[in-house]
Amino acid sequence: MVHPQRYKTVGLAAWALSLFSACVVALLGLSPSAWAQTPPPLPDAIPLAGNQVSLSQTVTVRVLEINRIAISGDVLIPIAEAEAGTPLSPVTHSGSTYALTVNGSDKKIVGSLDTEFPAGMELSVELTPPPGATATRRILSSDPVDLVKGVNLIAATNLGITYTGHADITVAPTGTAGISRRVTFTLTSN
Amino acid sequence: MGTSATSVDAQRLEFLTGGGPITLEISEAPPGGEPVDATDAGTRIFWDANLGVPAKLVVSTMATSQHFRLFVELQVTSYGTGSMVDMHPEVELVDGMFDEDILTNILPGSRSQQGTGLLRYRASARVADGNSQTHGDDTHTVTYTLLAQ
Repeated sequence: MVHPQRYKTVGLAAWALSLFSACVVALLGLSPSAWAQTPPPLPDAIPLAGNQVSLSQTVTVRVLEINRIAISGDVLIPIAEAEAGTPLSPVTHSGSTYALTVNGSDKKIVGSLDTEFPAGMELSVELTPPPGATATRRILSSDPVDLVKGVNLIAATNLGITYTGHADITVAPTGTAGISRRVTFTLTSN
Repeated sequence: MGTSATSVDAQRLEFLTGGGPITLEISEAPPGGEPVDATDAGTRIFWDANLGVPAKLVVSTMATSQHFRLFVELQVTSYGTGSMVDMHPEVELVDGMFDEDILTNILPGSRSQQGTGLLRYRASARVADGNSQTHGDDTHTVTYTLLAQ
C-alpha cells in the first residue's frame, strides 16, 4: 500500500532560524494478498421444510494495515541577536501538531532532515506521544532517528511537535530568508 | 455468479445479479481518524412469496472468529404497483445471530408478493479492532430466508 508523502521544510539562519512547511505521511508497505482467502463456492438456493426457501452468499471482510501520519503548518523559528558577551539562546517553537492513525501494533515514528545544517547550527524535535507510546527529544540529521516508539492501535489528533533551533556564535548571519531544511517524519515498524 | 431459481410450493428467492462471493476491503483512514467503511451494493435479489399467508424475508450469518462489523440493508427497487411492503433499516450481521427481519408484510395475492431489491453491505472497523494481518479476514456465510410471517 502506497500513500502520499508530505514534507516539512526547515529554515535556519545564523541569527534567524526558520522552519517552513512540513508534513509527512509515511506508511508501511503491505501486501493484502498475503492473507487473502478463497471463499467457498456459492451454494444454490436451498428449499427448506415448512415452505421456506433460502439463499446464501459468502461475504468476506478484510481490513488492511493502515498507517497514516500528517502534520500541520509551516514553521519559522527566528533566532534573535544575543546581547554582547552572551551566547545565542536556543529558540523553541511548539505551535505545530500531528495526527496519526495506526490499526497495527509496535510502530514508531522516526525523523530526519533532507540535508544537514551548516556547522554550528542544529535543530532538535520532540513529539508528544500518543497514549501508550513513549517519545524522546532528538537532534535531527540526515540519518533517521527514533522520536516515538510503541505506537499501537491508535487514532489521535492535535499531538504536539516542539522544535528547538540553535546557532552558535561561529555561524554568520543569513538574513531573514534563513536556511531551510525539510523534516521528514516516517511512521514505520519498530 | 448468481444461483439457480428455486421453487417450493411456488415461492421463489434468487439472485438476479451478483450473488457470488464478495470481499469488502477496508484500506483507508484519514490521519487521526477511524478507518473508512467499505460498501458493496452489487447483489440484487428477486422474491416471489406465494405462501398463501403474509411472508417475510429474514437474514442471518455464520462467521467464525468475527473481529469486524458487517451490516446489510435491503433496498427494494421494484414490486407490484400500488403494493406496500415494510422495509427494515440496516441489520448488523453477527456470528450466531437469530434470524433478523429485513422485509416484512409481504402480502399474498398482492403485487408485493413479487419484487426485487438491492442488498447493500457495509463493513466497518475501528482502529482498536486491528487488521486482517493480525486476525485474518472475517468470512461470513450470509443466509436469506423467505418464510411465512
